[in-house]
Amino acid sequence: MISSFGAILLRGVRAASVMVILFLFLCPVLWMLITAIKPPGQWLNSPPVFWPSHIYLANFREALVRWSGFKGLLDSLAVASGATALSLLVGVFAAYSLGRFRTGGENLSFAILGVLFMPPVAVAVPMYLFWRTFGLLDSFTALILQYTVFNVPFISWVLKGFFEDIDLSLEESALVNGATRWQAFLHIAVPLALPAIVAVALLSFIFSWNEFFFAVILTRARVTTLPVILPTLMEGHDIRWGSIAAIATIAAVPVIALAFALQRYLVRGLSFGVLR
Amino acid sequence: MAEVSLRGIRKSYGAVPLFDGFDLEVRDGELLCLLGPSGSGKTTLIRVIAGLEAIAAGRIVIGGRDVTALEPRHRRIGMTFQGYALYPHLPVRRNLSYPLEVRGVARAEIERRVNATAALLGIEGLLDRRIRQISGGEQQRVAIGRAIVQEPDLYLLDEPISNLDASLREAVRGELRRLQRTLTATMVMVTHDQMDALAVADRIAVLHRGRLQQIGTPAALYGRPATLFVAGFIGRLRMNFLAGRLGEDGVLRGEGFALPLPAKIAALPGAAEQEIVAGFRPEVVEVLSADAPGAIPVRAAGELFHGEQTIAFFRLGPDLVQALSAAPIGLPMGAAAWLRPAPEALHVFDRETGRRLADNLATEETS
Repeated sequence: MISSFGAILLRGVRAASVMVILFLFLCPVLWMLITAIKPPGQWLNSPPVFWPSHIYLANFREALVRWSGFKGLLDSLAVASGATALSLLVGVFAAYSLGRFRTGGENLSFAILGVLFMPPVAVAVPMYLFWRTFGLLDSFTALILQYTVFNVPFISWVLKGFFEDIDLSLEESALVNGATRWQAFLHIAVPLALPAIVAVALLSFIFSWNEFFFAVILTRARVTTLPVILPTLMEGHDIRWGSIAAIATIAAVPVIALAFALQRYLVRGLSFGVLR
Repeated sequence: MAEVSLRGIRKSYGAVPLFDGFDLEVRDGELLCLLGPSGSGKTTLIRVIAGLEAIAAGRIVIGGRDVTALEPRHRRIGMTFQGYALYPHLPVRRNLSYPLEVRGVARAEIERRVNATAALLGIEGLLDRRIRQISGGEQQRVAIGRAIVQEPDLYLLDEPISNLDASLREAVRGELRRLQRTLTATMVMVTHDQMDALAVADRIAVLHRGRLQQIGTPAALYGRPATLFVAGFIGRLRMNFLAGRLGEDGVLRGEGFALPLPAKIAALPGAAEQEIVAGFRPEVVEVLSADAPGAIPVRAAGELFHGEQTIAFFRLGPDLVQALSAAPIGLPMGAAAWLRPAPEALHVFDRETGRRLADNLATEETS
């Protein structure tokens, strides 16, 4: 009796703590969603308006059209997808090469990791001058390449460990079984590392999607990603909090949707552990 | 089916040479075991045959084709790895079919060969399972199946039995042997377990530190070991060794014993006044309670009861000597006893070189 009462109590306490923690994390998201559907005049009241008097979807129209949120969405998608694809292309091969062939001796992989430790601010001005020299300021090319530079060290470092954990004899058996080196990589190593590849792809996408600092420095009007649009809404006297919340919602949805779609892989990939 | 010839293989790891002009011949349709302790180079050797290890010099010929410069996939070999190396992301069926798929074999032919192989190995029921869902013994069958399905010229098996439970091993030895006969295949099998080798091999090649110690039938290796190393390595119970000096009178004198050797051995050229080692197996020792000609005095040092037989230990100077007895002997610890090895079953080795003395050396190529 006592033990079952204790078990119920424990379960109750656990559920309560989970709810408190979830509330803390989700509260800002909830507030963003609510603000996005509030009509003007209910955004910054005291006491706050917890539920709008009516659902006001014009915020979204305003965000997408007047504040060019639609262009921002498309530009962000283009930059993040482009950077992720390119980063994977370089990073997966780099990781495999570092992990399997000791490419560059013991030091190259550490040198690559070093790029991760470097504060982005340190290279902001040189990179600005660099892209200006090539006439690539305010271009997709510059932003995609810039993000690739940041993503590749992360991807190659994480995946290197994954490839090293794959038993070499699996690929050797493929070689004996008739595969070329390339086929052994494609048929054996890549599928086995797939959860990790998906996980780092998603993290690269999120980084590129959210990146603000370099986007502000390297782009103007031709390329405008969502993080760059948001602060422009806060200029002037009449701050459109409803539109800001709407555009933030629009920015959040693709990443969340992607994470849900890839859930199956993430559970295994994000543990960054040994494949079993 | 093919014979294999290795000629003058050279390979080193960094500055450490492993093979320095290694030769080996595998006959068509035989099961050859490469036997040796870890670090002896046996696994490296089949990896060399498979093309997974580069060699500095030498020639590898399989079935009359010089494969030295060929990639592994062109050598027509079927290989199993120590951990089986099955693909965990593919079901059993795809594991079996992978070698055929990657070589572009027609789908109907793949289907036929996979089914035939599965039937041969009795794994038809496992074809749709994942590797993780089948037992170690079943994984071993799938690994062998993946080699068979390719209909290779040569099979290379790296420790195929070692990972299995003791209860399975005896059955798998028999099965492997029958399979090899059914396929009339040339097989090279690596093992560190001499009992596996003795049980299944047509011939055994004993390796030690990258050198071929002896190659011959299991009976030849057991009956006439060519070196001290082989003598100590082959046999379920380790051979007993007595080191000493052979006098003109044909008596081997060492620490705490004097053992008269049969005249035939004492008369071997180069034997007299030499430091030699006499070896005898625990299987051929009589335990006596009183001194007798040809016996050496020892003290009882315990015994292990194994059911149908008992292994008794005796102290001889600083060394332990074993004797196998059908029934428990029951001597108290430290009790005096005499051991008499059967004179015709004595092996004599040069202490310096470790080589078997005289004529028996000529039996290296017994078969």
